[in-house]
Amino acid sequence: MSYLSLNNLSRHFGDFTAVDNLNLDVSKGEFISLLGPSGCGKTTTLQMIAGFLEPSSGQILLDGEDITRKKASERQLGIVFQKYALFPHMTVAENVAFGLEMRKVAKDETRIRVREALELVQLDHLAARYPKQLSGGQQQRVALARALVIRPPLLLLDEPLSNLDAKLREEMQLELHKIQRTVGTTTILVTHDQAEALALSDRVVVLQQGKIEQIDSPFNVYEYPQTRFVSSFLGKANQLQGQVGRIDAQHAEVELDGQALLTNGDNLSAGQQVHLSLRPEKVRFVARGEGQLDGVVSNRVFLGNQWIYEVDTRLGEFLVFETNHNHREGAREGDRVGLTWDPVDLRVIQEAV
Amino acid sequence: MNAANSASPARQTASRAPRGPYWLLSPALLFYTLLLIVPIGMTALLSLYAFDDILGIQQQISFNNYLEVLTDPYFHKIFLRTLVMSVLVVLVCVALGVPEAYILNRMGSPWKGIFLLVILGPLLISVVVRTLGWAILFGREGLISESLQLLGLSDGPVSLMYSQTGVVIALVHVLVPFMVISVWASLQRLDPDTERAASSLCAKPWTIMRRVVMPQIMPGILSGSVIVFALAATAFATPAIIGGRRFKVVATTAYDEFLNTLNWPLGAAIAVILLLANVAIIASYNRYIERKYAQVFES
Ligand SMILES: Nc1ncnc2c1ncn2[C@@H]1O[C@H](COP(=O)(O)OP(=O)(O)O)[C@@H](O)[C@H]1O
Ligand SMILES: [Mg+2]
Repeated sequence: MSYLSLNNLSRHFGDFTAVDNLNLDVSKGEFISLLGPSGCGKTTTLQMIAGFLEPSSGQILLDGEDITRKKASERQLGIVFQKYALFPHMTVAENVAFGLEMRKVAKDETRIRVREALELVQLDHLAARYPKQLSGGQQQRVALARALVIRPPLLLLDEPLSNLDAKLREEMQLELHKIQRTVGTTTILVTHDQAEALALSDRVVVLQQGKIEQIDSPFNVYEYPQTRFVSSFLGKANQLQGQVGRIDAQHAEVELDGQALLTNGDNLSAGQQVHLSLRPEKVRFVARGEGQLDGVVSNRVFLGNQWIYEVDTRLGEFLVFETNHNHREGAREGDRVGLTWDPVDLRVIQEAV
Repeated sequence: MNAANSASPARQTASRAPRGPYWLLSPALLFYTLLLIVPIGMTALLSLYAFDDILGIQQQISFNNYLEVLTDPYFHKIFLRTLVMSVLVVLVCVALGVPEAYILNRMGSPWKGIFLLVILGPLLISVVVRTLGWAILFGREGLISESLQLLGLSDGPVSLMYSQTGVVIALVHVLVPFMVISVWASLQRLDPDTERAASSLCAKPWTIMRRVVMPQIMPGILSGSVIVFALAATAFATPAIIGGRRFKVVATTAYDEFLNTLNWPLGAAIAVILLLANVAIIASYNRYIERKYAQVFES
């Protein structure tokens, strides 16, 4: 039984459809990410769940109750905003206490719960400060404490870490993960950062132009992208297109420009046009002529933990990632190399061509 | 070593930079000196001279004019009246201007511009013309009087001319745009997500207004109040036309001393006291605001 359901949820702005017939079921305690490029309708979706925006059509069910037309102030959800949205004229403690005050919680209990919430985000020593006197990361943690102190049935986060610098963002990701596991609140996170979505969530919802592209575990959206968009938006991918040739028990052959590549043959029929996706880290260098494809290294970049190569092949430019574990420098620019990979790593994308 | 090296170019530019811009200030400085400082200095000097009904202005320095203004209950009444009237104008401007600015800020794109123009429009018309318009409305046979009688809200004709109510209404009309602009400016800095955050925390609209919005736009309200107060306390045309002789304020009193009694030194003394009182009130008010809101709004 799902805890939160979005049923055929749509939102139009004039002629423009920002959210297009969204269906999503979230279980209790689950951490869901809405992932997609800027303008794909993530915020719009979240605001409809929060009650700040009326859906044009569709239904929102929370714990069996239809909350589609309920006011934001009656939904009792915890919300964290991109730019923190703390009350600048209140101290940290007053900010966190605000939701309890609105619920007429007794003074003593308020004090205890505010302290607990601030301890959870490790800010109890800054309770008397004003938001302007805190760093961005600290402000965002206050915002999180303010949202969690009311013990909401649902926590909504709209790009909560995007205003922080890279290092702090990683720290906060770990902390957010830990806190969510501690309190166990069902959480929906909106982000355009694929690493963040993969790192934090139980399931990722990939959105594009208001439509769901794929809902899956982080591992599956990355390993088994169902659309070309998903394969290119999450991480890097070498994308190819070809026609299915011979099929046998284990493998199918896909013809690309006169070259046949082997892949998993599930659900394919001969003569069908298909897209293929190959992750750069699955490709290995071998001697020329020994792999599936030959090419010339045209460019390489060293990132410390790995090398990034661009290899010119007859199927176009190939991206290859090689982990730096060989105690030696890898291929050089201009080297003639062979490329190989495990046929199961060449994924067929089940999308109409 | 390193620090010294990197600091010295900065210091050089810092010492070189000021000269050019200071020269650019000179036309404005000259303008202000000639048109503001000199007349005020001359007024201050004039206020120290004596006046004789027969001999006219005597160049004998004394504080007699100030003593006269500060001890005469007649002048006390006029100063108090001006203060009360200005405070009333400020209060009404707050009551009208704050919701006006808030609603305006919430409006959609075509209406926002149109209504902003409607609010600022009065500033484009001469104060005298606007005030004469009010005078027509306020008279015993004016529109207001007639409507009140027609609606049965009043038995006989009502005149708002030469009354405090009339002057306050007309001054509010003139000054409310300043309040709207000032509050508008602070609304621009208000993050609308703080209102959403409050409503997600179960706050009702009125509570959000009182606990979240008002405190954040308070600096705008307070600075708008300073502007409106200063302009109301020194307003001349409106009290002169609507208030006339019966509702005299400080500015019209000074005018009368100059042009009717011809006692220029006494008029000058009144003007200087008005200036000083205004500066004192505004300065202490400002310090109060700064102290109260310092830690919250410094960035
Ligand atoms: N109030 C609005 N009026 C018109 N268009 C809007 C409005 N809000 C959002 N949109 C449009 O809807 C699309 C989705 O917006 P949004 O949900 O904010 O995207 P994001 O995924 O970046 O959060 C965008 O193209 C945006 O321009
Ligand atoms: Mg967004």
